Amino acid sequence: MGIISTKNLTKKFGDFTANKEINLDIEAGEIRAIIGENGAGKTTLMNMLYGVLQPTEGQIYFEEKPVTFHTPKDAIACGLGMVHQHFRLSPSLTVYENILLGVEEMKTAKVGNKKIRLPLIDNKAEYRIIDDLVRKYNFNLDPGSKIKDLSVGARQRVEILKMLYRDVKVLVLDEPTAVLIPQEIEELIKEILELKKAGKTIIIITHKLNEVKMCADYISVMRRGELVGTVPNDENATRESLAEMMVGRPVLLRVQKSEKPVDRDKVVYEVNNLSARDGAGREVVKNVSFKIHANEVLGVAGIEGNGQSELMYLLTGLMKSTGGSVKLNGEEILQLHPDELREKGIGIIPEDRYKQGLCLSLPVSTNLITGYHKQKRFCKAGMMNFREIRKNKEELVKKYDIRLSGTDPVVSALSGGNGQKVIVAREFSNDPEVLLASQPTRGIDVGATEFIHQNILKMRDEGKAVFLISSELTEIKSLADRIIVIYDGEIVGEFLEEEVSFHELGLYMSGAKRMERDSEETVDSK
Amino acid sequence: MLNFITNLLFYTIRQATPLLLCTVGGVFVQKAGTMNFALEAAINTSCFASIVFTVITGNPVWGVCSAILSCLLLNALFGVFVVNCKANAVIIGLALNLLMQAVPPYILSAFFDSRGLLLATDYIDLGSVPVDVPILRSIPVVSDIFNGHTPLTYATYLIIAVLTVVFYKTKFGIYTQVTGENLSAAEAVGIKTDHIKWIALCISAVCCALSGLNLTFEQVGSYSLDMSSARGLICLSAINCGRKEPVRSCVYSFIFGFTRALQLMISNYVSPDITLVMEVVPYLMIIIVFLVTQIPEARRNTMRIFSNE
Repeated sequence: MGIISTKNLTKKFGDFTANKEINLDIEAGEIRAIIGENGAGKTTLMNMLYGVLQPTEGQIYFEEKPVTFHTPKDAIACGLGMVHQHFRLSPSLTVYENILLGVEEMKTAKVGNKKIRLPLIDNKAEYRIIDDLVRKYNFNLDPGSKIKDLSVGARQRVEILKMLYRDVKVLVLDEPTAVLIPQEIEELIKEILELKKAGKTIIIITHKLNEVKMCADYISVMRRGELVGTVPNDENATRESLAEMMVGRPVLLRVQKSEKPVDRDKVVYEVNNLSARDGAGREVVKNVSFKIHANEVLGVAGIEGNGQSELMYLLTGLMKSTGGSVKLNGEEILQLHPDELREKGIGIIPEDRYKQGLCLSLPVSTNLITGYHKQKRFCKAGMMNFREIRKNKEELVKKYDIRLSGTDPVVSALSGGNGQKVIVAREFSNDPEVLLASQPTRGIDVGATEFIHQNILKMRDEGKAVFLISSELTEIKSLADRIIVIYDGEIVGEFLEEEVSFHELGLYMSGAKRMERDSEETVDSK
Repeated sequence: MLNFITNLLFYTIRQATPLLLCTVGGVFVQKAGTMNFALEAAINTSCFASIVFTVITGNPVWGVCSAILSCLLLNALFGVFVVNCKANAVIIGLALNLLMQAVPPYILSAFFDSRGLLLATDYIDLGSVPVDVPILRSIPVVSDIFNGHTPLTYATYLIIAVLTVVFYKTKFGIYTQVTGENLSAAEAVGIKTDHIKWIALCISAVCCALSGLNLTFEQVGSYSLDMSSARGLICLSAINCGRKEPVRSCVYSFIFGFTRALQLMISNYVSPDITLVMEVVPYLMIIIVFLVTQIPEARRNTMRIFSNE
């Protein structure tokens, strides 16, 4: 038996079984990847190991002893630490204050021969301790900086240090690479291997196969709450075979693009010098210009938080711009509201489907016409025509394979993938000229992703223009004809898809490299 | 003219005292992530309890004890609903504020045969309250402004200093900040966030009690209806303008204290009709401060449907 193992671990939420009889056995000093689609039960399993959830049945063993963790603190005390996908840090405090949270160093005063603990925190000693820790593990971090000034990669290092300071033997990383750029991912993997050398056991939960292949010793695959198998990470465990284990059927990891060429003569959508400021007055979108031709998918690559969200808000009429223009077939459409944009023939798949794409408490039929509800067929003289709305629903549900649990359930009852399909069905069925899509497949299963990708490419082949923002570089590479890279609100590079590598894109995304597009133009004009 | 200015500053310090006390305590609750809407009720409770129990027992010491106890009790009620039962803090706070507007007139008319005033001047000697500070008294001008305040006024600045150190330099202070900023971060390392909120509520209760005691025992020696005159809400504005940081919030409280002093000073020079109008000055000041601090923020918001963060 290894350092951590489970026996018949089961978790039920009411009638729903999230984890069914999981038997896991992890050796000390091993790097173990646990992979599975969203909703496969990975997080539930880890929450049970970490004491956030209590198992319905079964037993957890830590160092061959049966244990019960009531809170995460119990798990940490035992030697099991976890770094969550959403960081648990306090932004206005410093790195060392966050790491030493709960185990502060206190000042002492000497009275005669006795040492008395004062109720004051010793900031200098805290800084020194963390500085030593950072040096020991060779992390790139300043202990005195405040969390709010740090990059996402650095915040993750703070989280890892927080666990290392508590001297954990087993470190669980939940989707550690979701928000990192390729270079940061490389650094993280280096750090993980370094920790393995230091004798730590590491469990990585992810749905990204590339990183798993790069560092794991063994790979456990979960599907629908069950552990379907554990395989050693060797040449037999290919990405294709792992994906097949995850989904339960063979999947296309890359959709096939058609040979249809981009129509270079027809510019459908044109953005010139678009700029905007955020609430703090910072320029978040700086002079962004690009064109999208007919039969073309333009991908926007970038680390999250570099102005992609704001760019999407600007283009979809949710944010005020400070200058620039947006043209659809030569007609100025800057700053129109979303309903007016949709009328002009712009389809919108927003970044956050629950905040901007769907109304959770309304039924599917209504959500399938939102934004297009002013059309004559759905609304006459201010009265909604529900027979038509229901008919529309019947058609779209069949055509787009939306799986419903009743005839017309509310959207909150749908899974993420089906919710996204509702948006896709709504936008595609209105036959837009241009599709603006942001993170169209975030957090949905492989099947639905495949379906949405195929539909986007079908649209492209019909002569439409598609604008695609995604934080998944693989998604952009597999769909786009042309890729622009956004860094700090600026377009820093533009490439044809086939001419650029992941590594190259990573350099631009991190700001290490940039193309001087403007200077080239001035050279031309001279 | 010099006389007017020194008097104005003297009264500013006097008027700022209850506001500062209430603010510096309230900051903790607010920072721990709970809307401290019952500040108003707490000051009112302290004023009422201190005078009523002084009159009943004839001993101001009981008045002081009951003021602190009743404030603790009130905040405990608030805590049970808001911290333990996770109720909406604004609604519970509003309920308590309204309750404390209704209870005093009822008790006054039922037991003291009074319509809204209860005097305790027989038991409290307002004349002996001011402190004559030895060194201060010999410096001209400075003496006029800083000498002769009440003991609590001087204590206030000590309390602010101590609580600021607590806020930034102690475990409890750091835990309070984390609790408000990232609850799961606090809970992940085993901080009992509910305990933090409860301690914050207790600090707030004691500070509000002192604030009320300053009004009754050191300033007027009696209880009259609505004598807290929205000071709790003013403090809440000061805390929010000061971004929930103790010193910054206290600066805003001081500004509000200054306007109240200004109103009182001007009232001495104008006819009684205008005096009534002058009473809106402190509230007007709040609106102005809010406009000055909030309008640029609203204008900076560049989102059409929701605010950017």
